[in-house]
Amino acid sequence: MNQTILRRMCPLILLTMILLAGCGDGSPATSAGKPRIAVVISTLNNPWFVVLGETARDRAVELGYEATLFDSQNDTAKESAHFDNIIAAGYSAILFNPTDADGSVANVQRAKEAWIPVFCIDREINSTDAATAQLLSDNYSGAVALGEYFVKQVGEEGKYVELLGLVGDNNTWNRSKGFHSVVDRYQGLEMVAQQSADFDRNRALEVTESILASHDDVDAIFCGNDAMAMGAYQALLGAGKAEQVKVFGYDGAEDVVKSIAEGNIVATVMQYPKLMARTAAEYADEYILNGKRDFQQKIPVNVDLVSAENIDKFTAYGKKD
Amino acid sequence: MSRRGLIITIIWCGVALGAAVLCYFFPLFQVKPIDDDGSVRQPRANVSAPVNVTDYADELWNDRLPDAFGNAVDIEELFEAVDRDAGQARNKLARQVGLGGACFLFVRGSGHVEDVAADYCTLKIGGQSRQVRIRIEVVVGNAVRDSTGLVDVNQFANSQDFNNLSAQLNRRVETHVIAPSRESLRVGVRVGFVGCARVSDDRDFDPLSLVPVHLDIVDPQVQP
Repeated sequence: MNQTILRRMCPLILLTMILLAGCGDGSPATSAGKPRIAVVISTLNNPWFVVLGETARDRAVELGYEATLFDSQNDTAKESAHFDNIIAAGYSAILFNPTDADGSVANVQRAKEAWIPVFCIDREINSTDAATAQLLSDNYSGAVALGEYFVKQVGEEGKYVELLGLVGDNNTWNRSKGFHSVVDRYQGLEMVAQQSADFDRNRALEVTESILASHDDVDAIFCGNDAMAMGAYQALLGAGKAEQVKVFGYDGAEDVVKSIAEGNIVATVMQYPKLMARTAAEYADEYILNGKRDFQQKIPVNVDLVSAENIDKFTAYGKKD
Repeated sequence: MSRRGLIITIIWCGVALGAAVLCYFFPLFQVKPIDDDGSVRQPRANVSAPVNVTDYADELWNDRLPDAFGNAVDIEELFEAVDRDAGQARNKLARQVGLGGACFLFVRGSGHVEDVAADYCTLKIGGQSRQVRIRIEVVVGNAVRDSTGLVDVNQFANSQDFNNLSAQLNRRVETHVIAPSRESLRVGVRVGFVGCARVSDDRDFDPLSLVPVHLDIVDPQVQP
């Protein structure tokens, strides 16, 4: 009797096991049994973003995930291809540094439709309903502080140049507008040139050389990031004007922190890429592991002005200790 | 159970296990919530309509901000709390926006003008040893936007709009608050105020620098 019941139950048990196993959430684990997290970075051609990406990847690994770092090379098409692969491969979460505030929204939306949470880090997308959360440096506040220090150092009269970053990135304009919200109040401060150098050191070198050829009486250069500040400073060295022209950067990159300590670059604004990257990985972990969903959509991250007056408190990409 | 039966059962279990492993990696179906119209519900998100920053600033400045003056922390209560424990005062009475860094305070009170400089005037507050500095020149930064708790960053799809709100509020402070009061702010005058402060560390509590959103020159004729 028992044998008959067992034989009849076997197909039923089999069916139940198959059905239960089939109830997936669309995010299968790897063969190693670990869920996977993708880290997509706008460019790994800039040391600041390398730190951002590697910190996010390493923190994800520490939390028990298999993590892969993707380089979009500042190209929205490459970024889109990365998202195609990530979605097809069924990653569990994406830690994302976008290339374009508008152009990257569609990629995030596709991931969302595939039920993959996206946590933006450092750079914003112009949407409040695509990403799960966005951890963004408070660039406007940082640029206001830098603008105030700029006026103290340069004075209320003088000529200056501004090097902008990528024009499609909100960080470019938040920094520029924060800076101008202060500097434009002083009529004696004249901006003689404003050009984009795409956040790129070599491009900044070329642009600055070109500007110096037509403006030999510049007092200062405000650069939208530290890579451009180093490029501008290199151009000034080449032109023999490094002592005469004050250079201001933004980021807190290693070479600029060192340059401020040596008295070359005047100031920068310290962002905290490691803090943002680690927090994003931890948010993803809370989403996957604990089912947390009520993330604040946009989370400003504090930044600090760094100059010769407080350089002893800072190191590359953060504070000492 | 006979030997043959046991073998058959083991085979069935093996097949079931193999099928289960297969189905785990290639699910037959997925469970997803469905909306009332039968479509698959999209993941929950904070959806916000685009914000007209000028309209938003007008509505905030003219309606919600004056209504919130009563919610501001009394300056003497703040200073006394700071004297007891500055860290606790910050935790209890200030607002933290985002991760790390400065906090913001929305305060009200009154005091007598002790000094007038180019870009600020200094107030003596009752019997307090700490002073207040009221900004009376160019206003920059996010203190007005971030100190009151009336503005939610998640309402703004684009941070440029969010920052533009700060610029617009600062202009209103300069035009509607500072400019009309500037000439009346003389040493000895008693001033009522509601203002916003950004505090980075404990040193910022003395003097406490305020961006005024309301100034009330109580007795402009009184001189020391």
